[in-house]
Amino acid sequence: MLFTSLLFVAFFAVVFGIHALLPHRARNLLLLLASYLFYATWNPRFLALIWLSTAVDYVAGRIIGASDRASTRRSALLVSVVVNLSILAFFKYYNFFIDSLDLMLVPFGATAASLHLDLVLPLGISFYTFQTMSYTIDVYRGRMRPVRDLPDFALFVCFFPQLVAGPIERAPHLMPQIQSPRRITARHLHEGLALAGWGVFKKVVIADNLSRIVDPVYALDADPTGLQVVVATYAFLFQVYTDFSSYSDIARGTARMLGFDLMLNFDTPYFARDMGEFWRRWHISLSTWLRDYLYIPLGGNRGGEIRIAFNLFMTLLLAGLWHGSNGTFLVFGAYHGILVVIARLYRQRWPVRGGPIWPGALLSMHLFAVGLVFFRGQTVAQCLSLFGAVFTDFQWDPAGLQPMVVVLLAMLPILVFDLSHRRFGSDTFVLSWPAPLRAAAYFAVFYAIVLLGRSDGLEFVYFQF
Amino acid sequence: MSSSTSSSRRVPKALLAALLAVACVEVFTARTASLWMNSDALFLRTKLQEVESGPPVDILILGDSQAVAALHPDKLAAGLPENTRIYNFGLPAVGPTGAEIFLKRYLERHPPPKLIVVANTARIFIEDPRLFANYTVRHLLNFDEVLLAAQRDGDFDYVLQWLATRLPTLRHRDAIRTGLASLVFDALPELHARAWGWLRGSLRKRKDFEGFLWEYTGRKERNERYARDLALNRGWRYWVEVAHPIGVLPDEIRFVANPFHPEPREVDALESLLVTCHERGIPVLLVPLPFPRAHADAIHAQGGENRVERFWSDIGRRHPGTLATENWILEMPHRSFSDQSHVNARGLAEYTAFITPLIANAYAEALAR
Repeated sequence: MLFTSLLFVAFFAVVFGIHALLPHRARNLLLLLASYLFYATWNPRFLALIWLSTAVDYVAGRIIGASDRASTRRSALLVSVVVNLSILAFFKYYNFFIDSLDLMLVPFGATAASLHLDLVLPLGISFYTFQTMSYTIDVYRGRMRPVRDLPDFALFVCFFPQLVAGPIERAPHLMPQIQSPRRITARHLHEGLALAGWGVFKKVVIADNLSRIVDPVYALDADPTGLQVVVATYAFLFQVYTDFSSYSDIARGTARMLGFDLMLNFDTPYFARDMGEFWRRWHISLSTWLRDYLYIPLGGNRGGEIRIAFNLFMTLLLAGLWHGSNGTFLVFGAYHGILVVIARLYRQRWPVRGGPIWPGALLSMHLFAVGLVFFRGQTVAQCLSLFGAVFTDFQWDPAGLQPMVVVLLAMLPILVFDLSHRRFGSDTFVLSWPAPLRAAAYFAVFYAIVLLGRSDGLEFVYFQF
Repeated sequence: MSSSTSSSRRVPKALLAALLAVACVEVFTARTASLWMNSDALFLRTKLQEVESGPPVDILILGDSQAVAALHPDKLAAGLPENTRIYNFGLPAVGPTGAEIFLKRYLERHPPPKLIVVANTARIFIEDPRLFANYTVRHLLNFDEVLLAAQRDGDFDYVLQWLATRLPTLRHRDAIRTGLASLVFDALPELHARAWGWLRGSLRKRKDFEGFLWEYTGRKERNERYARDLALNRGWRYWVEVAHPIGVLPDEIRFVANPFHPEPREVDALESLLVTCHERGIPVLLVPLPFPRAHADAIHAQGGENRVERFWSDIGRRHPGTLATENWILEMPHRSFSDQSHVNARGLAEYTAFITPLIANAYAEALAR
């Protein structure tokens, strides 16, 4: 059930209507059932994995909260982390491991191909696994008390607006919202509609239309010129941003209409002065998760520069691998690890002291675009051949730049929106506009969706993770 | 109830203004729907109007666009008793699923015809099963018909899409987009030339470019033609154009025939249609439509004729007396076709000569009953 499908609109309308009529306790049960139904429309079998994660972390949290013995607490945490990471590793990385092993065995005349399994990646597994694991770690660290009510905890794990593609919520932020009665105001509805509407616009009008430029060039059997690779990569730069942030916007918008406040996941990332700042603005829920549960435990900013650089590099490398079990994501992560380390060294020598942001923002955006070749490419060999085309088969032709017109047109509303977001410090700044201007904006967005949106239901890019 | 709603004066004002503006645009689009309809939608609307307002008929023909082209009421009437009223309810891309829906619609409004002729090639049974569900004219159907098709398809989203097409701008969005492009390009022809150049440079596939070209030039011509049609005879001229297409299918055309695996949903619909007619005491005649020779050759090359004949003989066994012939791969030379599917005027004459006696016999038997 895609967020941009009519089925989801009908589903949400029903859930919203019933939700409004129920008392708090029944509301949570309704949302829990709705979330399971939402997930089951993709593949009901994989609900079992969600239930397993829910049960393990609920019990682990209760044990950790109830015990004063360090060894018991540690064991419960260990069980939670091992179970969650095992599920994730099996479904996401098992075949990657086997294929890599197979390659390594080639010189010895052996093969591991028979161990390769036809696995289907459960939708949203990377998101909900991280979310539920963070709960147990937070209980262990004493940052929150264990949840007693199982349905409330189950809802925290599978809350449908953010179940399959985030934001990856933290228990100390989301649990209190689940547990406390929610007051839904007209402001909630207005903000929710504005966010969701803007999200749908970004997805069906911008991202899906840009995919027409990107997909043919990045197809495995394509043989593009260097110019086409450059143009398609610029298109993907805006496609991936609008696609992923649109999901977050719709998730936050629908949650807002139900009285929840989900965290901001994208904070104008293409205005970051360097790659370090970029990762503090891009997919914030993942980067802060990795910061709190990986970077800091690795040592964080403690220790010498080499140690810090190592910590940063490893965190970004794993951030790359989080996206998928493919060599391309390994390169993507390593590339960003190096860039973030360089950015840190640069800022230590030349700290930010005001000045225009655009030189750093332009550089960061272009560095990110280069890395996106590995993000969008399907194999490392294909990515290298795309880079090869840029350097050895560019075939300059002014007519070949024409799709850039579409890219620039797509960029314009994003630029205006992000500039306003920065200026007003909120992504619901539209609510402060004068009524006629707001009405015109709603009208324009509505008809852009109706007339220009692609209606063939392309999946969100981040669903594959 | 634990929720409450606070009032804010600014919130409804902007939303209401936007809704009002949207309502104005939608009403305008609905009022000018004829300008936005595509040819299939216009064709169906015209036919539905004819059926709903016209007199009951003696022979009702159901089928797809090939049936429209090959079974011309006036030509058939010449070989039938005087004053026999024949109506061809064939519609482009409509197989048995659509035929069943339209038959029910007809029977709701009129007494049963004396004979129903169902004309489909074998091909309609192996088309994409969603073809009818995706049919561009679905918004003209009644909700119960839509629900029936969705139930058959197991596709609830189809009903939602039908509901969405209640919004006139969404219903006609393709036409509005190309229409707006036409307005711009008609006013600024030099911009059209430039856009053409852009697309030529940026589109890798020629057919994409040709598609764009059609949208502009085709749209402009079509708008003018529709305006004439609507003014003259509510689009009926389009039917005449389909029934008498010009042109000849080149001899060198070759076909690739898909293996004949009848789509269960279409077969079920045909069975259901036959059962409905049997229950209502309406005789049915299933007639084959002609294939270009190269297409028939392609079917023979993979032994498809056996599958086709087995399929129809099964139908004939379950519903005795419905088959007009045993030969279901009816070959005709390429010169009798205007394109790979539809007969031209020559083909119409040849096919009419073949089919009229079969229909006349069935009609005589129906009258005798």
